[in-house]
Amino acid sequence: MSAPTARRVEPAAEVPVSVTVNGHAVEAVVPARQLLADFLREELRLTGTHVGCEQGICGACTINLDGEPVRSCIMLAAQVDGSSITTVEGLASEGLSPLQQAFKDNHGLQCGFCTPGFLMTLSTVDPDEYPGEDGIREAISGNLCRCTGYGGILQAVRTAWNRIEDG
Amino acid sequence: MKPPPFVYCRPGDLDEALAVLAEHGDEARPLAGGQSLVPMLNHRLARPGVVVDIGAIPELQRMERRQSDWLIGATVTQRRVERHSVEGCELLRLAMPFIGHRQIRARGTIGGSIAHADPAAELPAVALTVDATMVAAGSNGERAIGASSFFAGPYMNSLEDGEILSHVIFPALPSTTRCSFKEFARRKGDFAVAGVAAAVDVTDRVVSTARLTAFAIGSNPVRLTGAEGAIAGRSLDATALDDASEAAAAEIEPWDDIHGSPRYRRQLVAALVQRALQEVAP
Repeated sequence: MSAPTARRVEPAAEVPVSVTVNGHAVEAVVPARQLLADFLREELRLTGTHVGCEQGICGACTINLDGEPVRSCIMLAAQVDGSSITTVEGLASEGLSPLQQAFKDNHGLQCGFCTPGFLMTLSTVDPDEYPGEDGIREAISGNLCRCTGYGGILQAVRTAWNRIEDG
Repeated sequence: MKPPPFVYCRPGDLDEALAVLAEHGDEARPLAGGQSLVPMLNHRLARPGVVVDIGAIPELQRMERRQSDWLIGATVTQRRVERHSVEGCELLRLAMPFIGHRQIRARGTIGGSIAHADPAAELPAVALTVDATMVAAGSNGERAIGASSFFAGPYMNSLEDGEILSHVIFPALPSTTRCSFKEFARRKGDFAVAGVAAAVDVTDRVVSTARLTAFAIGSNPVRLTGAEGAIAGRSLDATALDDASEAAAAEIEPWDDIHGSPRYRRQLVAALVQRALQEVAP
């Protein structure tokens, strides 16, 4: 490796960010230490992304970042420069999405705090990568729900993913 | 539960990153996927003055199958490895589903996990088992560090100030080597209470090379040389498996924490060695 070249980057307390959120281009200057979840909620007022544990355990803050489900409470807003994000607000266009409707129809939520995280995980992953009943459990394993006991959520996913057994 | 103040930059090449790191010394921390560092910032267990985001450096995102190994850049995500076949590096593939959850693997990186050196992490155990080489980049060039000397204690590595882990070289194992990765955790995706990685070469029905590693039992992963010796030159029958798991339980010095006593961890490691060897037995 050659000797370091002339410096072109200077660490700063505020960082310019260009990001697409739910199809809209957003230009912002964010504090270096701002979490992505807080940027979405407090700057963009997209409060559907919930902040539960703030340590990457509960999954309530899950969003779709460039086609992958990620936890927005353990990412810095500064890191998403150049990326594309979908939050739970981006799921429904006219009425509920089929996944949201399945949650509603199957008692997939009670208090609703964890629901945006479940919806964003499930709407981002490819169901074919999670075959069968075990696959559904694997797919939701990174999201915690303290109300439902998961039965309604499992049934909602079976419905949304067309995995209801006949009879 | 919010990060303390720091200044941040996102260099576009390695030399820039190294220059910032050199200038700020131990005030600066590299940020890869952030799946360990950002929680530590949120908890204020880490308070770096300068965060150097290495996520936009193309040199660190290389992933190449070479003649006899895989070169994997430090910021290649675990998800990318999971989706890739990494032919010849079966143990790496087997370990991936155990790393956190899908959401963590989407951001978590190969180099970040290895450099973080969490005692319960899977990738350091894989690196030690297959004898991976960690390549450190610094202002004076590159330095290769073998897995047996890279891990220097819980959450400690042997990188020097101003160095970053630039890539990891995982040797491709012969097609005759069979691998298994087993861990026990209370819930799927939790940190392991104990785990075992195995790469065993069986030729003419006898073990020619055995590599066994236990992790999440102490400061860093450890090779189970006693258990390896117990099966060397033998066929993997029930007696050999019993001997290996007994040797493993006897040779480790597990630590005691809220997740398990030393006695419990010995029993776990014995059982996991048994299961791993059942899986690799021809």
